Amino acid sequence: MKKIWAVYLGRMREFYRDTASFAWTLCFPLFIVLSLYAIFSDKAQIQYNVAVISEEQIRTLPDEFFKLKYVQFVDSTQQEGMAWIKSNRVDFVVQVLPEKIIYWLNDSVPKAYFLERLLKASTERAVVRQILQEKPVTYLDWVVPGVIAMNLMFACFWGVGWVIVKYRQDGFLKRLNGTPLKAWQFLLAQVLSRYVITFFITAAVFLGAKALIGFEMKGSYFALIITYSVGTMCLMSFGLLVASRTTSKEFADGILNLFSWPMMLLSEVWFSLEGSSNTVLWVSKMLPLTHLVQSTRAIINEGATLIDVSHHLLVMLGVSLVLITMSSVLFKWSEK
Amino acid sequence: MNILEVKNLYKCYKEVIAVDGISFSVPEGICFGLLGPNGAGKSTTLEVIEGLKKATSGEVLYKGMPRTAAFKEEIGIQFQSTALQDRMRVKEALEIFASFYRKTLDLQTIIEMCALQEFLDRDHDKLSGGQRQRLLLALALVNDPELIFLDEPTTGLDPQARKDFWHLVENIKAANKTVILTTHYMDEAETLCDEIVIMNKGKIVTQGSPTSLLQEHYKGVKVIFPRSHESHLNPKHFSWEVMGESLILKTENLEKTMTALMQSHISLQGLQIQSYNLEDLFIDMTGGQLRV
Repeated sequence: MKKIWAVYLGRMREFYRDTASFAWTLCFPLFIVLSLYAIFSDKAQIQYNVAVISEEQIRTLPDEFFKLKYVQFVDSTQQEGMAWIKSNRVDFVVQVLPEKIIYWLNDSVPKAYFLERLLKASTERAVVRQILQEKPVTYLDWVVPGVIAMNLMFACFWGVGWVIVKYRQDGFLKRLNGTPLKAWQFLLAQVLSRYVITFFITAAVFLGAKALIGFEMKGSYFALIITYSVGTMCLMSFGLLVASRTTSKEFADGILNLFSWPMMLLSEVWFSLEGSSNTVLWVSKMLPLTHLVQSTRAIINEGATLIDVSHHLLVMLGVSLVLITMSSVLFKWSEK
Repeated sequence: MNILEVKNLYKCYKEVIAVDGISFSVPEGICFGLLGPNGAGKSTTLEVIEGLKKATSGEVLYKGMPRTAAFKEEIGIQFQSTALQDRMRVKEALEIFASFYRKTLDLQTIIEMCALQEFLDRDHDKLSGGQRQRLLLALALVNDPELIFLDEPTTGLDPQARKDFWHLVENIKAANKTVILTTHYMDEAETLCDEIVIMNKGKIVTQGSPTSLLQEHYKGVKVIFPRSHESHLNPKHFSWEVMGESLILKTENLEKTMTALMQSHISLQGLQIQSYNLEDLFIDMTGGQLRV
């Protein structure tokens, strides 16, 4: 018992004396809880999403339909509404005109069926039904680009960031520093090897998911490869920044989780943030994974071109440029 | 000709002076020992010379000139402990390190020199301590360096592995290479080093060849008895020190001391006569016991 107690105490001291890990372990769960609260607190019960095209504000419309609880109404243009319903971000699109309401739906979507019945029962105006003939994007079609991007993020963060920190902690970087090898040569080799690995992993996951689920690839593979390449560079630049000075694997784990968890929650990997608060949407736009997910999803699900997603590509290139520059300035081979 | 000169070197951390204004020079083709207890500043000194750390002040000259980028092409380093990439095999490690240099030795020559033939295809993390140190030495020699730094290369090795390693270092010296060695083993320093520096608390406390230093600091020998003889020694005639279960009489005139002992009818059973060695000098110079 005495021995167990001594070992127990030793481990406890090791834990709380590592202040970075200690603070991380304490703060991270709180951060996750607060993030989830911010996302879900005002829409936890919302089940239905409707895009509304109207010259008037939604809440001033007299129809009972627009006062229904548990339906999230979102202002949109006709072009946005059509794009959103095709990409499964909304279930139903309505255009409100003085004398009538025109609505669009995919008649194979169960939620659209219920919304149609509710609309007919709760408005005095004439209704005009418009069917979207295109095959609807299912949740699986929608989620696959998110899952692939998330996988890419983990591969880049831990495959570049954590591994370099491990090399530093083990003394391998110090040994390399004793050779004529330059820091940029070492980092470039790491980045290139990780790029090739992630390229083949991503291709395998994409093709495997396509074979299993049979989702439709609407855009060009060239555009997809370019977008994934830019995204990979952007995500690896985060790994490089973490690896530039960190000397503890545990601390690197914490920092990488600090980057990756918010991205998992706020980058629309698993669910759409449509209807979330402006703050949540603003934070989401700040995250590079959001841009990777949205651009690849647009290419795969909607057939977007490189020009269509160019704003996402520019953001990811900009982030890469800043982080790679910071990493190269901050990089140290060893601890001191 | 001096291959290396260190002039008034300081290395300070926030509140610690790790290296406190040391100066020494290393002639070409010798084995130069940097000795001292833990925390004396040996490894920091080496790392500053190697270019891995920046000096706070002072100068390091290689072949009479400040070091340039080409310096790393001409040196080989073996650290106290070095990790390689996981699952890297011995031959792969040699090939990777060889690729970093413009000039390299033929790998087969290094493999034979360091006796790596038997485990070339083995993962480095499955090597024994001695095999691992031979691999790390081979990595330090891969560019046929003129100046080789060995930082406590035999720590943790069994006596046979240490002797094998010494043999390798002797071969390197025979090829007219300059070796700078740090070690905790005074027998190792005495065997391998042509010149030594003893450091303590960041300063050099003495320097010279092992033989000249021993001649300079000690005259005579030590006569060692079992402690059970203590009651037979007359304090009026002898002075001694107790070390563990032994008594140590230091004398400059062995014949006179032996005669006095015999006249006192003290049994010579268990008596040993020892010359002073580097370990005595080390302990005297660093003011305490060997802090390994």
